[in-house]
Amino acid sequence: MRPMLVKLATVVLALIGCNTSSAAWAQDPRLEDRVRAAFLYNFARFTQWGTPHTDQQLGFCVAGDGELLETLRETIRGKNIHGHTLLAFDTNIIDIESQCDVLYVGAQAKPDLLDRVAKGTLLVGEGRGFVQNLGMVGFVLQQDRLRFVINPSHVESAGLKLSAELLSLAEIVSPLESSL
Amino acid sequence: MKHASSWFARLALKRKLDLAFLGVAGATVLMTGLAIAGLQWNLALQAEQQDVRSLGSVLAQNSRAAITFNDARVAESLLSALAQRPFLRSACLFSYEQNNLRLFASFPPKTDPQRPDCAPDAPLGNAFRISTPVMLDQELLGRLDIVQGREGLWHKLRGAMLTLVGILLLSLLIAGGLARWLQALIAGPVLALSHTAQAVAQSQDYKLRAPPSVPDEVGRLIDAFNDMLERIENTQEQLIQTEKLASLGGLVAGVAHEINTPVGVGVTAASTLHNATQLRKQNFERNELTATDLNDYFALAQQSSSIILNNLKRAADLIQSFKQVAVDQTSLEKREIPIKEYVEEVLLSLRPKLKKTAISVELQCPDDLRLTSFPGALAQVLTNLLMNALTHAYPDGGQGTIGINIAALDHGARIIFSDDGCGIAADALNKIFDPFYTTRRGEGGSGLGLHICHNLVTRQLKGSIHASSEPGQGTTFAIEIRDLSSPQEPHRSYPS
Repeated sequence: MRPMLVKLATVVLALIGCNTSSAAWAQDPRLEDRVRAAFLYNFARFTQWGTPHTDQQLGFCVAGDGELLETLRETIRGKNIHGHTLLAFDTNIIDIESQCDVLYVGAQAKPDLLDRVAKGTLLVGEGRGFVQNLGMVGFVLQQDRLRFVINPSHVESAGLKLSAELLSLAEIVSPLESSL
Repeated sequence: MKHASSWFARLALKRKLDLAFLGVAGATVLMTGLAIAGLQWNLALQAEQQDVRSLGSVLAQNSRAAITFNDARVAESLLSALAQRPFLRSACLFSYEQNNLRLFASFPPKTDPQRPDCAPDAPLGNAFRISTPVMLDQELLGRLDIVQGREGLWHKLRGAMLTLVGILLLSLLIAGGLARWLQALIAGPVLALSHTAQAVAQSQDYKLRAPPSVPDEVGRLIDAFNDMLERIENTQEQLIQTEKLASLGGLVAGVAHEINTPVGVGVTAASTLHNATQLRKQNFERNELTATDLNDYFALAQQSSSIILNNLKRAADLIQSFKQVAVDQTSLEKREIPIKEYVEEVLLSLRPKLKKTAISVELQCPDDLRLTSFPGALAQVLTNLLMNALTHAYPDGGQGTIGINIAALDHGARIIFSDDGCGIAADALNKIFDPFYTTRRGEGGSGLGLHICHNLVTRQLKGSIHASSEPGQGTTFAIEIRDLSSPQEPHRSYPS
């Protein structure tokens, strides 16, 4: 965990600190995936589920991004959150409804995917539009830095609770904005 | 310390007790005050530390996400809320990086030129540091150090401390009042005893008594002191009585000697007359009595009877005056005295003493001066003064004159008794009325003569007696006595 965080921090710092960020992304194409994977893991740490789908484990599902899935598996290896074992699944293989507590919806995800999602799944995707439509947390790239937006009303209606700390770091997409 | 204790020893008992009470109370109050103040300070410091600890734990909790998502701006805006907290020096948020701490965010913020020194060994000054770990699940993310100044404590405690000082001062005031009261209770009897002792020493009046007190040690001391005074008074009384009797005895001897002379002369004259009468009777029986013889016999008989008559009269006079003096000396009766006549009688009774010396007594007194007083006391005073003068004023048996000058006053008389003897030295003059003061101990002087004079004049005759003298210039006693026919407020005076 710690070496990962350290690496991540170093990377992000490097991104903030200098104008060679594009070069950095370019030099290591997996760096962006690593940051995303770390963010996914950390989102889960600051999320409260009413009841996880299974008692012992917490499932991370990745749809339409095989490279991220691999990176996520590396990131969560040997870790747990509140005593839950962490597992990463490909949505093509498992039952989304019963296994996914966190679902990352990638760019190449099948359009019907979201129909099969159970209530109480943290939906993470890309961009503001995803969050405005159905999603809860969306990655956005601001000044070469990966940040995230949250739609609290979607989170709330799913019966989830995100910690205030997490909300304070995010750009909030208001319900009013989402309804527009 | 030694200086202080000797200063303390010189203080009056009242002051000592005051100081002792106040010292003890002050020390107690001071110690209590210091203890309470220290306790208050400690409690306040602990509360303040607890406060900062709570603040730290809230901030640490809230900065977890910022560290996790590496968002220093959010962390700094979190810490900026500390600007509201008075006397907060700095807050430093560290994150763990390869087991090393890295400064992640701080208050004042990194861009501030007043940025704190976040080194853990930076000097704190008048402040304390509270370190709070930043934990997420079981993972140590970093640490938050808050440095809080202690100045705020004084601001918080000022009211309490001022109240405390007020209460302590009030306690001290109450203790002072209590000390005053207790001091009066404890020192009062001792001071009364001390005053009585001083008064007794000054006035020689052994009739004085210390006021009785509570039945504690001081009370027993006072009782013992009063007992002692009573014993001294009794002893003095007895001595004075003895001295009176002794002087009466001396008087008897003197008078007996004096009477012996006229009686002896009378006996001689009577026996001469007896013999001459026998001789004339034989001559007459033998018819040898001549007219010349008879004439001679008549002359002798006349002379003898005249001598016998004169001497018997003289003896009767002596007995009369002795009787008067003796009765008066032992009597406490007050009566009206014809002063001149009475003083002459006293002097007559003292003639045997005077006859042995070359000293004459000159009495000056108005013939009609009459005074109601105690004749015995007056006689005793004059006798003692005269005996004192005879004994001490003319040591070499020289010639001299003693003057007794009596003048009437408004309600009494003034008697100036003066001699032209050797006088009295100044240091001895102060003591002549003291009991048992004598320069002739072992030569018959009892040291009581003038003391008795003083006592009689001041107590019984309600008057005053003063002595003045210079060596070689003689001694003068000035006595003022009051007419005691109308009872008046008795006044006392003592030799100055």
